[in-house]
Amino acid sequence: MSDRTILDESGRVYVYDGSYYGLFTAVFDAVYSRREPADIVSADRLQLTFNTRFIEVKTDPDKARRVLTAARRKLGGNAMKRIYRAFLSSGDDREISIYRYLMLGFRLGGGANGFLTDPAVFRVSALSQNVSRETDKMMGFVRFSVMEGGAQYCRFSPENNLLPLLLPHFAARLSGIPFVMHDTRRGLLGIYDTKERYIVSAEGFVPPESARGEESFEKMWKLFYDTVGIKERKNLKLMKQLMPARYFRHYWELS
Amino acid sequence: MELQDKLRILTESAKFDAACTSSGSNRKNIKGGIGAAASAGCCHAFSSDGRCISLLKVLYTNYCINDCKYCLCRRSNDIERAAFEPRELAELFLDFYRRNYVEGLFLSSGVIKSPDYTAERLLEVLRILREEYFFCGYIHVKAIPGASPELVRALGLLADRMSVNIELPSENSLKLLAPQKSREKVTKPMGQIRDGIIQRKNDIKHFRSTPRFVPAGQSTQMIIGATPDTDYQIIRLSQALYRTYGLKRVFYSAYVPVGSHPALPKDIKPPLLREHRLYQADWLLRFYGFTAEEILSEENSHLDPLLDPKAFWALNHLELFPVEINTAPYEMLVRVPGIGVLCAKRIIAARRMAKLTFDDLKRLRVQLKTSVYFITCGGKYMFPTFKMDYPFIYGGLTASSSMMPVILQHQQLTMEDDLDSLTPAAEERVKCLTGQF
Repeated sequence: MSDRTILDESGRVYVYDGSYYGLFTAVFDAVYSRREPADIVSADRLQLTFNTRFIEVKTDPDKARRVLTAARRKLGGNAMKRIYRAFLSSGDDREISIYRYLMLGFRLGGGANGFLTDPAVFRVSALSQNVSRETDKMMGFVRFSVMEGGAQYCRFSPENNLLPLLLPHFAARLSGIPFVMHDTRRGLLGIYDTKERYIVSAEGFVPPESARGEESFEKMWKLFYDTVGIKERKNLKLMKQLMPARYFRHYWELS
Repeated sequence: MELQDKLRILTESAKFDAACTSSGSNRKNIKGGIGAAASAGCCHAFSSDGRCISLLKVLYTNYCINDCKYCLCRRSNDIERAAFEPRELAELFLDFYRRNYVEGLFLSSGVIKSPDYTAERLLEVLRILREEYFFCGYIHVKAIPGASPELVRALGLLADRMSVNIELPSENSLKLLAPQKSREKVTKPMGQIRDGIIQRKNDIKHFRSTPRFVPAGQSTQMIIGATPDTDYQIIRLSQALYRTYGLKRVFYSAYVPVGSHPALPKDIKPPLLREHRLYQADWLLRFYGFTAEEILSEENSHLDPLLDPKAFWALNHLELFPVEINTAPYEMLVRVPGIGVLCAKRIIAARRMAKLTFDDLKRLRVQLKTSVYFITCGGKYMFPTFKMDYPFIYGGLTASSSMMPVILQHQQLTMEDDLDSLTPAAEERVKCLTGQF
């Protein structure tokens, strides 16, 4: 907790809809109420507690954009990237840390970015780093299979909400191939139809059948994977550490 | 022969090449094409030996006219042989790529008929990928020593990275174990690739578009432990390669016994620790501003198995320490054991805003276990009673346990005044270095 936090008798908790604009609307409302918020949470994580006042935030793109523009001017593009990544993380304190980082930034300007000894700045950069690391991992670990008709499908269950970062990555390299990425932990689908990208709920979605002959590629890859390891240097402990089993539940390399 | 068998045989023969990185090149997808390359590189899996799998690493063929004694594919070795067709390899690779199994292709080859003929086959694979399928991802290809300069240039225009393996650290070893190769045969294409890269850098200042030439630079590999060369010779050679040929990477590959030549060591385990120490020294050369002569010397020609090279250097230069975290320049910060490039940058950013204490360092994720002996914050050591003392620091750095037992150990030590128990016996050192650890 920052030493600037002043709680009134009942802490104010801002409840927003879980969107990026929603969060920045909440920041806008909190700033103009001139009271330090006790917390900012998305509606699906709401827990009723004593002695708190819940304030519902109505997402307003205009308000959000005003905060975003001001923050970008004060903190710079890299910091905004970091804040967005922290927003995609699964840390429960992500919103309030972002809020405190922004407040510090409005006071100090770009110098706030290096202020890693400030708990909020440190937390935001740690969360963002965590998201970046997992994104890098998943860019490599995700495995697509080709469906009847040529579209590709993959499922994965990352710790953080990575679809907004992974979709553009794969859309850029598989530009002519439509694909669906299924985040089974959040029940979300990332869809690319070779023109647009969407993220939608996976409710009622039934994974399609693989194309005929798809298994032979999986077998070939497994064959390559098993052959390329050098027996004399075998080090399963290191391998398992680098390829956490939780990411490979859906795949077959480690079986 | 089935495609599966070819894949198995030609992977088996390629696996000893350590280079499996996909970094250093940025390629954007072009319309109608497939793939892209990001300069950060990407690991897609880790094999049972814990090494990263980033590229589909295969030989075009493992037939070879050379008889290098350390090599699995030497002519005199009785193994299964196979060769891909350029098109079947290109298509297999693209099938792997679109499923996100791999980040790119690593293509090497045994020498069939002549170096030129082999290079032409490799060129055909690359041509199919780049010009028929418009593949925009990462390709690493070997320059076959002895191939004509035109073919090397043509390969360089299609690939992201090229490499020529230097294989053995000295000319003598090369003569003994690879009779058909010579240092000159290896350095010739290396020099040509360097000149091509420099020329492209100059051309781009004058012309709006010049074709890319080996945008991710070139690399090489040395086999460690097959010959009696010392670590000092090896890192001196690496330093020379970085300086004169502008290499991006030198890879070190611990020798796995595959040959039976009388000059080769038999029945040894791959010297993995030695390989690891050499990589650490290599990083010191490339990112930490060290020279090979600072790390080792003629008299002290092997890296210490118990200490990483930076800690070893620091221990022998205690007069330069402690370093004050709040004022030391970047060049000195990265020379502190336990502080890396990222950490040093973080410290410099953070100390602009506030004076740093040891608690702040913990928060900045500075590895205090190692660095605590070499730094002060605001003029104070973390432990007020600490004194710069060689045996104490040596004990602390080599102990794998936490701080507490080290301090106890120290007390015992000063009582007995027994240094020998902490420095490894000469015999043990030799074991570490030859890999019989």
